[in-house]
Amino acid sequence: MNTEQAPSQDTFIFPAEPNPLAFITINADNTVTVVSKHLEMGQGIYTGLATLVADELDAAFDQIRVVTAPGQPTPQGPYGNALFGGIQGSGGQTGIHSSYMIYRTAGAAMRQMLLAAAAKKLGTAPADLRIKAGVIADSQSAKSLTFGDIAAEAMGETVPKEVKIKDPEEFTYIGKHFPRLDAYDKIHGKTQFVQDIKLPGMITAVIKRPTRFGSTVKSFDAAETLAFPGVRQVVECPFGVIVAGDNFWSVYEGAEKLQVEWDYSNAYDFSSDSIRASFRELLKQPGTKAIDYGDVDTALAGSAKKLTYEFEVPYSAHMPFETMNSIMQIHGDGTVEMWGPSQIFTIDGNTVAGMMGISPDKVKLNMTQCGGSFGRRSGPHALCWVENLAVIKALGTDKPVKLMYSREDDVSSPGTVLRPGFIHQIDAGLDQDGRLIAWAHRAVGQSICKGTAFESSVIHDGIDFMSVEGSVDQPYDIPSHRLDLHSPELPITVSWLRTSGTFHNGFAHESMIDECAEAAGQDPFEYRMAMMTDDKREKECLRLAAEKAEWSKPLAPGEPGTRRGRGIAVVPAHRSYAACVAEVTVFPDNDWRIDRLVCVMDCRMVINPDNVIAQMEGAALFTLGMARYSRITFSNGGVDQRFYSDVHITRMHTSPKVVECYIVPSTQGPSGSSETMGACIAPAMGNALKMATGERVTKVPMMLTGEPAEEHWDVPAILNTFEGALQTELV
Amino acid sequence: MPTIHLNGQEREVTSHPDMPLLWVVREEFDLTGSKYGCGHGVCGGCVCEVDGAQVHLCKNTVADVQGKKVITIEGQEGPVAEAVFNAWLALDVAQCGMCQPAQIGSAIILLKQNANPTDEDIDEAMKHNLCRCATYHRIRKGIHYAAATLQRTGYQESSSN
Repeated sequence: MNTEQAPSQDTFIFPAEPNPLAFITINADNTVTVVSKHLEMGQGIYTGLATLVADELDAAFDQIRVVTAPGQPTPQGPYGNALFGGIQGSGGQTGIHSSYMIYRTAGAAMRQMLLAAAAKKLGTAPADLRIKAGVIADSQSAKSLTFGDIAAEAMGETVPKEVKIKDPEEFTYIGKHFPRLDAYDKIHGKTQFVQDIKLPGMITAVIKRPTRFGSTVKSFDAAETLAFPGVRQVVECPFGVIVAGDNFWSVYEGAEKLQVEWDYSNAYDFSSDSIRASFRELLKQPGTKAIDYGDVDTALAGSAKKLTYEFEVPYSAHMPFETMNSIMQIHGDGTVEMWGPSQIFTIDGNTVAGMMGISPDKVKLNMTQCGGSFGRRSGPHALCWVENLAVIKALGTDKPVKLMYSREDDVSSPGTVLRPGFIHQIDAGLDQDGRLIAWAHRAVGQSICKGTAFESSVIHDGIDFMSVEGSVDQPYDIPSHRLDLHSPELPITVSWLRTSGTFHNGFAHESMIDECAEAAGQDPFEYRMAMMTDDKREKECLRLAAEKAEWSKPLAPGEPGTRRGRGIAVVPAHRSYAACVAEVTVFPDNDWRIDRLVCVMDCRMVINPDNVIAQMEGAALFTLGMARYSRITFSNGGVDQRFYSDVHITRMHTSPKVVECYIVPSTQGPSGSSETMGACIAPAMGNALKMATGERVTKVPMMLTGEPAEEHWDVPAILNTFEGALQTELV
Repeated sequence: MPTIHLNGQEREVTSHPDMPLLWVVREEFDLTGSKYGCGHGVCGGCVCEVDGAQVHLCKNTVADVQGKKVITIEGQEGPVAEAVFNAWLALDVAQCGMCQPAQIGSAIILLKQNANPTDEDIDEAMKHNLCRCATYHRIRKGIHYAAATLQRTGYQESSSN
């Protein structure tokens, strides 16, 4: 999420004073423990924060270890996120941005403490000491020490109030290379995710959930379930019927056998069609204005050329590889202990404390890494923990309970959390020379922040910034410009999903800009460049993308019978900026393939170039699938999809063979890198399709007219190559 | 008592005979590198090597693999496995890491059959293994990197591993 509105200044967040003891421990075994105040979800934050500390200390990279900070229940404490109002949280690519100076000053302070301790031990002055790769050497003698030799003494030194951080030319790791510290355990399957944790006496539970939102349990017959091996208890709770037992297989299969009669008297019957119809009604009415300058209606009326397009982006599911889950235990003294990943622990912990009637400091979190999140665990609703507490109370147990969501629960139960779907209508007017003189944009879709703890900080004058990000901060000079928004309320829980609002705003806005360029008879790259003032950071992204993609040269033709196209787009997203050139091949049956993505990002200063590029690749390929394949639809008040085989995401064979990433150099404070690249992928692909076919794709999933049905996106869910194996018959 | 040939050892199995192998290896043998992602053979998070082939552990039982050798990520060793592990480290392929043990298992199986795969071979061999972080670009590079290592060290597909 993005809790500030696109600052363009050089924003460092400086701590009041360095706090090395909260973030760094020098150990006697010569390791250095760095405490990460952010959740590792795959984005590389452990390594990023460790890089900052290692650089200030001049430590050797292999002596660095990272642990997660303890859960901090209130905004008071060292582990808060300034961009979240001081509460502990990770998301919206705020980690490095918010913590950059906190970790550098902590590292610099610890360096001074190490030097002070070493000087005393060696009987020399700190100024005579040099540190290289974790060895402190006296330049006046041959004597040297490791960090471990003076671990206790350094940790006991007085913490300096002021420190001098390194000048950029002194960097040893920042902007260079520092390998991921979590890589070895992950590739060997040693990293413990929630599903891997076993605790003494632990109960595993699932909730048999309704498919229609608003349903409740009328009655159930648990006879077959209780007869299933490993099932111990079947109990009703507010979310459905709990099946608890020895392991996930037992409770999942037991739940499949459970006969539940649902009470649908208060159930919803909305569908994608009904949602679309209600959104399109709202499109006809003025909404709350986010931008209003010039005289849009007069300018549109006087335009030499007028264009109108409607863009539709469906609801979308996070579907992290690790389904939602959590472990919780209520101890005999009334305190609560939790195991699992929490993107916003202060909300999760406070919610649990409130339900328990205990103070938040009685809630302890053992934070784990998570198997992807993309916003799924950031929901301001603390759902997975709330449910676990309800399960524990219903079971009446003092044992730890592991609550697992099956994939179906994760995607298609009322417990699901989705990125809201949006419809955008844009009317544009051009003058005689093709210049864009009027722009009227109306957006319709659910607000993520309304009714949550983020409402007061994110919603201003009725506008949820996250509904219009990517449009409200668009970079072009348009003399008459209006953007208005409807935020209808629906019984669907919505949240941030990697790129969030910039995904659908970017798609609509940059597709429309391409249409304007075409109507003006101008090159879409040159057209964009001419509409941006030189202070726009988007401009250099766009220029570099065009240069690297050799935009000025004609696109190479494809195989016989195919059509090729190339599209360009640039979108600001979450304090950073990115541009993309996409090349596509369209086959005779209108199926199409993405051949090449040229990706450029400006996230200001880069701590770990290789990790930033990994995030660019990941964001690009993640959103490529979200644009090309994914959607959540509804019928009769429930979600239609259950698995990756019907939601569809990027796979190896649907990834482009060529993905090139380039970073715009900057010395300003880092602004975040894990989402931005995703915002311009969909419009770049759509613009390429337009060039190849003449057809403007206005909907996600992006399909050309007559394109073969979606079944070919997937592969059969059967993989066994020997007799006797079970065959999957998944519909 | 039924047995399973798991990571080079014949092991007795006490789990329920209907329990899918995924949960047998995770619950009974504490081999948690194979992951639950869907339980229906869709996500590929539990794909392991069985007699040199890719197999979803979630879709098979102990009876299904009688007389066959099951190798989970914890049992992957030898020149091909080393080349793949090293490639994954050199390129920092993993992000959240949850799917990577299965990705690596599939990559090892591919390279044992075809030590110098093309992009199209990789597409075909890896299309069952989903990665929600979308690390596909580096997985592809990782397989080529491991293949280059194997070429350099004179590895032949026909050799014993």
